[in-house]
Amino acid sequence: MFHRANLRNNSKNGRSQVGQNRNSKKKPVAKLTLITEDNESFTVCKKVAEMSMFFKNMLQDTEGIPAPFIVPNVSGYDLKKIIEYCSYHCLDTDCPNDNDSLRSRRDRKIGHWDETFVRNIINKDGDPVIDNLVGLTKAAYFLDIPGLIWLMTKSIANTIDPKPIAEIREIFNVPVPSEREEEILQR
Amino acid sequence: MHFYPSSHVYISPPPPLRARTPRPDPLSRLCPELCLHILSFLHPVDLDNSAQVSRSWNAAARDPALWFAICAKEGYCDPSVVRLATAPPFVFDQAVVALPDSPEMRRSAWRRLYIERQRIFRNRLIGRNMCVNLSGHEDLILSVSVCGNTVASGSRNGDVFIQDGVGTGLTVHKDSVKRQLSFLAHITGVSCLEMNEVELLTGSWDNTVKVWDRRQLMEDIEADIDEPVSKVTLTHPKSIICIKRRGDYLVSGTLGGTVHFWDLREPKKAVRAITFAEDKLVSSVDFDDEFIFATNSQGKLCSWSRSDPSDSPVWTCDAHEVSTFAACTPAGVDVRCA
Repeated sequence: MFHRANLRNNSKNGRSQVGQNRNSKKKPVAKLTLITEDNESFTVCKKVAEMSMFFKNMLQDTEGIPAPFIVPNVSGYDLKKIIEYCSYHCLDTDCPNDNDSLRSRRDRKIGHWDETFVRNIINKDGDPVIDNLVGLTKAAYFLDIPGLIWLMTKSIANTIDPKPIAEIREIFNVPVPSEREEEILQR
Repeated sequence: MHFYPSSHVYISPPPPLRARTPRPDPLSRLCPELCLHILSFLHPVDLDNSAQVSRSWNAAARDPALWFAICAKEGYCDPSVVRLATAPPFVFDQAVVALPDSPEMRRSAWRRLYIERQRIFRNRLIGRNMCVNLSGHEDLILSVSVCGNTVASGSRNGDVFIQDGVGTGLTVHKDSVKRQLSFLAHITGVSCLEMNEVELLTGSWDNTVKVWDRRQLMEDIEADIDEPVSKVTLTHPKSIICIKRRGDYLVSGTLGGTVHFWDLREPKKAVRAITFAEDKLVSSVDFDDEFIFATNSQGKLCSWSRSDPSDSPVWTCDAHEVSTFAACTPAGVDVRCA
């Protein structure tokens, strides 16, 4: 329980240096250093990294902790958020992280923590939030974290859901088609 | 008192105005698989809405897989059935009857199935399409076919009834039967019937398939001709059990276990006669551009290549222990046990 509270604290501060939790003094925790495309480095413990099927398979293949691992296709911001998500959910048994149980429970509601997590995805470089949502979805897909993919795709779907067409076009920056084009689309 | 000269006041420079470069649609950065995953969370109404956003959105939101999942969720089709087909096994839309093989039609078939079912459901709620009895037959009815507002039915004594003005598509309106015509098509039971806007095809236990010109038929019946003459008669060795017509071609299955492939422009002789299984009735047939499919009472499902003239099937499936009555679709086969 202490462990969990500790992690939650960390993620609330947005520091997400989960690998350095205090438990490590008692018993050595396997850690993994990750370096992103834009040269930001993160240290995570193995359990957190194993939320990602990509890392899980990699760790199984290499048997042991490799030297700093360069993560392609993922930006520093995205990885920070991903670690934040994983460090919370690696201890959370309520939220399934495998494809089968996700499929059976695909219509469940977004949890409270997850909701705050999505709401805190901020405008980076002035880009609209949707760009970051999409970027994070892409990163989660690359790292293969089913729970996060579910959360992100569901959140994007929620931004589309009850809106009129004009608003969707504005959010996703789709140019307004000509009248003739619109007629074709309406068919 | 401190006094700051205005030059000391630090005014942060305004954020550089982002050049209004056309920012691409963020969804276009995602792979199609993820896009579909996102769209799969939407309610069908919103899905239809988002199909109108742009071309690429349209392509994604009209994906048959999405609509298949929706139909399966609503219970309009059985998701456990092995799905080789991209089209639903049955669509009551008259557009499909007219244009069964166009790829766009096939692509949107699940969506139209959903819309059609929703319409029926709503109509039933508000008490619109009521059941209407189309009576008139003196013997058991063996076959029925719908085309637009017209229903044709064939009975065991060889009569065919054509009931006009029944309603639009499936919306059968009460008391709206305008015209009811009947004629003796065959000397025994009319086992199968297919109708389109121009022609009516009847297959019977008297070993023949007859092609009737609908307009000619109407004129003949109204002129009180008891036994109108069919345009084309295709003679078979045994009783006909099932027929399937697409364009100028026709496939028929018989009681004797043979499958016949006809070109309706040359009705004298079948293009091909395939022996499926001796004396095992052929329960259903279908074909597409490449293959002919048939099932029989042993529970077998076979397909033959149209270009290969041999009798040996390209593909056989033995999965059913009981006799099958199959609904075949052009892109594949959807089989239900009966």
